[in-house]
Amino acid sequence: MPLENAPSIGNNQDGIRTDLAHPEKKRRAVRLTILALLVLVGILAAVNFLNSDTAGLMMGKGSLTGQVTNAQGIPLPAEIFILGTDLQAQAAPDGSFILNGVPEGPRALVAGHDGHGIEVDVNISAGQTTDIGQVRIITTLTP
Amino acid sequence: MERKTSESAQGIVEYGLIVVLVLLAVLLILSMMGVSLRVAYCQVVTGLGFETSYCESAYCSDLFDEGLNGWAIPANGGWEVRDGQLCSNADGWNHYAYNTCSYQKPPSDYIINIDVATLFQGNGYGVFFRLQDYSANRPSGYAFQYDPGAGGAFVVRKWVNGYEINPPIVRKVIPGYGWYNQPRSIRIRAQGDIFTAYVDGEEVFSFTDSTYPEGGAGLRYWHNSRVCLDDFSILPLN
Repeated sequence: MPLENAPSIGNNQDGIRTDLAHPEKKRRAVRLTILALLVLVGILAAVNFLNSDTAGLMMGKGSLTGQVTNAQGIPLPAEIFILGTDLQAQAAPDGSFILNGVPEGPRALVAGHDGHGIEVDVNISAGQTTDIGQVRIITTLTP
Repeated sequence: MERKTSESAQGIVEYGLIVVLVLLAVLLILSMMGVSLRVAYCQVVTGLGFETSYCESAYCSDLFDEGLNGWAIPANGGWEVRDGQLCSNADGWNHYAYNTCSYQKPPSDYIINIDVATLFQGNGYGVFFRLQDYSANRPSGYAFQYDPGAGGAFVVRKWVNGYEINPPIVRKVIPGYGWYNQPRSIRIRAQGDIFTAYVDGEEVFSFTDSTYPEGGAGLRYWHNSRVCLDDFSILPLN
């Protein structure tokens, strides 16, 4: 800084200004902002994770049982899937099936046979076996 | 003096950290809202009046002038390139064709466009979208069906491991529609969990489903359908 621009004692004849931001205060404000952003990012990351399949798989698990038939009630040895997981099972010749290790909460079961399938909403409780009864694979044109 | 220099450097690091954290928060919020970064970027760039090849070029395209390159056809075949078009040539239940490019490049949101699709006979054909791994030849995803066999209707079905799920997600009957020998353009828009189908530029229907948040594209026909398709492309949303 050139000497002529340097503050003179006269500038502070009424005492040193006190309205200037204290460096320590400013630094504290910046750190508080960082802390607040870290908390926000943490919350957002947690929400993203809880919405993921991985979080669902880490929660409790239960079992699912039922019987697959066609529209006339004849048992079908259908394939069973739980959407969003790798879980699958083959129903017995009498149509009965049991799936273990199904993540708890609302799930969609798909039963498929001979090119056609049906989707059923189920609700799994941790540590319990949910019996969804008869699942009928019906071919229909209308939604 | 040394102490002041140290404080100044520390401030820059802290401000940099704030910028990074704000960006991270914005990305997480966009992710939660299901917004594609590419789409957001292209909307901003296009809105500002700029044109970039990044935002305009097709993710995948096929004019069918190089045979069946770019398509995985299962062992039962049923497809051939004839006069520069992809055509069905077999009877039987299901014949699939999987677009291999669509598994490598596109993001989850896109538009599938078929400029010319002509059905000559049979129950119909379908366009798979958000199609999952096709290696086991058991398609999972959604299929838009040009389906005179379903009572003369446009239909979307969910597919799970090779099974088409009943009932369809959506079905629209169009009485008196000219299903055969008419070249049609097909367009399917997939954005987040909202899907819209267009035929000849007119919206047929729109539906919402969150089962398949991402995936590629493919084709199918069934029974004795005879269909030819040309100028297939997968485009960015904007």
